[in-house]
Amino acid sequence: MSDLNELLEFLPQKDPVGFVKEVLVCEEHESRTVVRFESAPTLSMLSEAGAQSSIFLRLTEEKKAANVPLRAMGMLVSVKSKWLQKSEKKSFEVETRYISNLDSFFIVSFTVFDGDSAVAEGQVAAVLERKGETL
Amino acid sequence: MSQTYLSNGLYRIISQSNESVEIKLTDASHPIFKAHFEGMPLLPGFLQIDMIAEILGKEIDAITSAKFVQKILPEERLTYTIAPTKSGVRVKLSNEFEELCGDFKLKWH
Repeated sequence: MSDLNELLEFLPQKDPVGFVKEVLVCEEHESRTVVRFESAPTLSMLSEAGAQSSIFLRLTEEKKAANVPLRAMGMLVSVKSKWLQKSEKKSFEVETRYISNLDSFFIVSFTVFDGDSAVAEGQVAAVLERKGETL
Repeated sequence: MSQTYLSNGLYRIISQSNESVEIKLTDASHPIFKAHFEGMPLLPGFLQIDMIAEILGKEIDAITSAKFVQKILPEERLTYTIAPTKSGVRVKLSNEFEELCGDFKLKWH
């Protein structure tokens, strides 16, 4: 796609909880975004930003095999995360990587960066809406 | 602890003790419910965790595990139950029908 930020329209979370402001990388198994907050975020907010950033993983073959639309809605099922070093910044980059899936249940890792320093990391699991289903 | 820019006006505390906190969510006109999601208002999972941390004045160092079991809608009455564990706390969130909505293992200070 010529402008990755056109993808932002697919983010179902809107302001003030739509934390992803730019899409830098949108690959099959890796994405990178810029996330921003109005004040220094909590670990929970960074975890939500990780979940939102995972929307920009393409996962074409995995979604096709699971009968999941490419732009499926997902419901967050579980999170684990930790601070690596606390930060008072309001803007970060978030890298997400596909780990695995079982049918429509997907697990993704995320790392939050302040410049070159990783400040938080974790995993999110979500169930994606199958074709014909409503979450 | 005061409510943040996201949780401001989102809930009110009904009762509070060392072991449990009961709250009532506001209605669907709150900006959070309009944004998450348009036409399908749900309490975001991250706020389920942040609300109890801010009520108790805690800062979360690690989310050892957080399971979001059931959707939470505007105007629901919710109860947090807090129990210490060997490595932190376990917080269970249930609705007025005593159905489990969230189960969180946290490290906080």
